[in-house]
Amino acid sequence: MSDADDNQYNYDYDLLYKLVLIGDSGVGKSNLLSRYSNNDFQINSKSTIGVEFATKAVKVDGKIIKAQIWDTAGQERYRAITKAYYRGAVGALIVYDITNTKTYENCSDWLNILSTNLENNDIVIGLIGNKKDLQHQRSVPIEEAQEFARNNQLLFTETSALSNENVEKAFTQLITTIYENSKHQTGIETLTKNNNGSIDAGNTVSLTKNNKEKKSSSSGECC
Amino acid sequence: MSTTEPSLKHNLKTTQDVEKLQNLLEILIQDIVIDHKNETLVPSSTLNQIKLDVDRSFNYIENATNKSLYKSLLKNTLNKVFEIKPKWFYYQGYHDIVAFFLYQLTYIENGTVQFKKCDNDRLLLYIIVFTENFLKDFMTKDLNNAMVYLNFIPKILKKYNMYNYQIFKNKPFYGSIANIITLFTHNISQQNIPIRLKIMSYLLESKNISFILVFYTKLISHFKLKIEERVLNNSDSGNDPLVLQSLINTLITDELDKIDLNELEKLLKESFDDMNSPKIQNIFKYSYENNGLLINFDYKREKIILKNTLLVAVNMIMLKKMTPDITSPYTFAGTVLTINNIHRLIRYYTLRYLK
Repeated sequence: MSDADDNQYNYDYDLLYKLVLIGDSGVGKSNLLSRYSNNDFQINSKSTIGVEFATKAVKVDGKIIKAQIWDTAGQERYRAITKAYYRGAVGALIVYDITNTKTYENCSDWLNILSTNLENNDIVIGLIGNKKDLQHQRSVPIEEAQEFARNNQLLFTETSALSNENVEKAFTQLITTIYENSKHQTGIETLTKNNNGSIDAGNTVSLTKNNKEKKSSSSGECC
Repeated sequence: MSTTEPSLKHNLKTTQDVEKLQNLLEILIQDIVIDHKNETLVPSSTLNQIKLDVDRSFNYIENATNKSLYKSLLKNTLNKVFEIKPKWFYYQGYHDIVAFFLYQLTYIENGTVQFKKCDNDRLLLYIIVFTENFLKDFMTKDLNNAMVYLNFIPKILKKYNMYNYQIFKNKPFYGSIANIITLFTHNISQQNIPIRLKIMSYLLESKNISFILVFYTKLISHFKLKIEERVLNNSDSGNDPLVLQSLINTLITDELDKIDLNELEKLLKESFDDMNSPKIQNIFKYSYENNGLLINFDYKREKIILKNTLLVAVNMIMLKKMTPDITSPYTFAGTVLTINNIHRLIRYYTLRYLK
């Protein structure tokens, strides 16, 4: 696995993975995404209304995987809308704030929401304890979160979007696990690009695009 | 986010547009007084959500003291709104709209917030009456009404002959949610304030929230070529409606920030006219999804049913008088028209029954 922090792969890829970022309001989902996709952190971030998305391409096992990551509003009232974006997702990161116990406790609810709204049970889910830089305000012990993740078969990482600690690792771990699972289990739903450039849901199929399809300009990046 | 300091702000805020906005709000609140008798404490979950959103507001103000004053004003105003209206539910994005009004109708002088031709109570009245008239549908326990609104966007797009209608057919235009429920106030910067002011004034003049839906669709229609070039004909975008909607929304939001004010005025005026045209009105008129909502236009439902029943009856009489030859173009056209009207009537009754 090699990380690709440049965006050159965004124009040409073998696999498309749809990922969703969920969790309570204010846990730092948008900053995690902007840190991962653009290496950017906004001290003055704004609330996410509805859903926003960004893409990033990474190379795994010689294959270019384009991660299409949907960042969703945390307020409960938006669930009717955000759950429409879960369809076709092959990975999810449930984010909580390590300084806010309530956001951690609500992770069980988020897990339930995911399981009731997904058609694909093979989805890979990661639990993310964000705001790791605020150790002095920590209220969620790492051991407890690790235990919760183990019991629910979740990946687990503590991150800091502010200091850029483990952000790349959290996303990379998720993408690699999805890829490894798809290699070993036929039938996992990933998205592949067909010859017309349109995106279809289907089995993991490697695809080599024609040269003429290669793009010279960027599109589909962060909204 | 803007990096412009608010030295420019005062000039912008004292433009005729702000005065116009305030005049329209004055008309809206005429003879209305706030009823304080149902005031109750706001639930802690709402207060927490308000705090989180207030903390992330006024990013376009660089002066830390001023920003802090505005945040405090916003928090107090929002808390007061929900104390007075305990049946309303706060949604993320509502704070953007309230922040917009507060910023336009106040200024900072000698380290305190000053009100423009009003006081704190009057400003609160503006916000409550505005919410009652334009945003009440979103203040319910869930955002299902917002989904109804988003369902109308593809229908209006169809009326604008957008050929990509098929992509979005029967799907709510989820991608528009941020702009629709915040009335385009979510991405405010010092530069786009004059644009947002004009939009808000036209909305107030229109007296109906459906204006925002029509204007949003008008923007899609207006930037059609750019959308085709950068989104629809771009193989990288794929054909996932959710992706396309998000990209279209991003494109029109970006383009709107760069739009010439005269061009904007023209689009707003066209949207205003379109909103009142039969072609757009019929979308709302013949739907039962919007029953009881602010986009209902106060149609007299029984009158519509009666009118359509009569229309079908007239169609049937005319058909009877025509030659019973379906190859005749008149008979054929008449038959199609009658079937269409009967279909519309059945649909109307069925929807009412289901509702």
